[in-house]
Amino acid sequence: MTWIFGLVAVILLVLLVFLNIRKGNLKEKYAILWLAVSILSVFAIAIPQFIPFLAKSLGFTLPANFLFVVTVGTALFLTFLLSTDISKKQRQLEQLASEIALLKQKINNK
Amino acid sequence: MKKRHIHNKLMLLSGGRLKIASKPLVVIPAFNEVAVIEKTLSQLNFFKDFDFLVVDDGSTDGTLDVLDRMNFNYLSLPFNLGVGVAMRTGFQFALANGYQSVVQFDADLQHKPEYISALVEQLKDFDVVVGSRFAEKNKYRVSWLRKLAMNLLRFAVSSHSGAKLTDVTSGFRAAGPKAIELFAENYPAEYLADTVESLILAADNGLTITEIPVIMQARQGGQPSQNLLKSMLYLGRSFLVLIASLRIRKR
Repeated sequence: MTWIFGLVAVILLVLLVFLNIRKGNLKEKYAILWLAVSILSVFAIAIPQFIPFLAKSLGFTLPANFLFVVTVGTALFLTFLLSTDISKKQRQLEQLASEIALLKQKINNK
Repeated sequence: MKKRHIHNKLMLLSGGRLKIASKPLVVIPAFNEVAVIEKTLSQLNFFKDFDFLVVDDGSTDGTLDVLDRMNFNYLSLPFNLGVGVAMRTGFQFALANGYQSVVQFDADLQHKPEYISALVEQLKDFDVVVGSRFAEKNKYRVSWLRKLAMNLLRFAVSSHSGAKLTDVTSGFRAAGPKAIELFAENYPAEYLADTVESLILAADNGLTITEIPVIMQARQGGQPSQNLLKSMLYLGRSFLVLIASLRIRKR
């Protein structure tokens, strides 16, 4: 029965992704990432042996440990991606602010 | 590519032709300085050999009203982004308007306007001139912890620059044409690291740096940052500056 929870979660995630793309709240770049996450989850749900098999072949004693490593790893990767993105945005924001300040001065002094 | 971008932008701002301004431009970054700004500006008004430009860094305390009332030339950033960005904007203004030298000056009169011309004088031979609190006329005293932090920062700069600098955190400094061009595009905006990083940036791009002794006054408003906790924080920040300096590359 637990697979139902998994499936509902994945469906919710996919729905969330699509709704947010439609509203323009989510860039395609990130949408692809989240869809990849949901596709992998579908695999894990549809084929019960999938995770245990992967875990075993990579040398994990418990499949749960493997899952922890993968999820934490993915989360860290995503946050790092966001940090670099924010830094870039910050730089762009600074440039815009500078340009606005210069243009305002030019308009006021006309 | 990037360099061309900023040049196009500045050509646009300058109306398509580059003029040459004869006076040095004194840039005064200001963030919520309503308590002191009027006093500072009315003192600066006595110095007719320079053009002045306040860069308001998104003040919310009425600093802008003072600037309007005094009819002072200013730029105003839409929100607070730090001294680094304010200075970068000032350098862009200088570049667009053909200024050959830029002096950075504190809004709270820590710096004495009498020294501005001495700084500018040195620009004949150097690209960047720093007003140092420690070279000669030494009266400026700091705690050992702060001294440690300053030495660390000095080490960071001297590993990039051949010049012997005693006060790399001084915000009283002058920049010549080459430095203006570099800083207009690249002035570091990391919080409170701009003074040190900009020297490293200048050194790495082959600019020459020197310093002259200046006397600074106690802050005219607000509190000086001299207690233990603040010194510790300062030390921590200087490590961050060291890390940040890794980022700097030749362009």
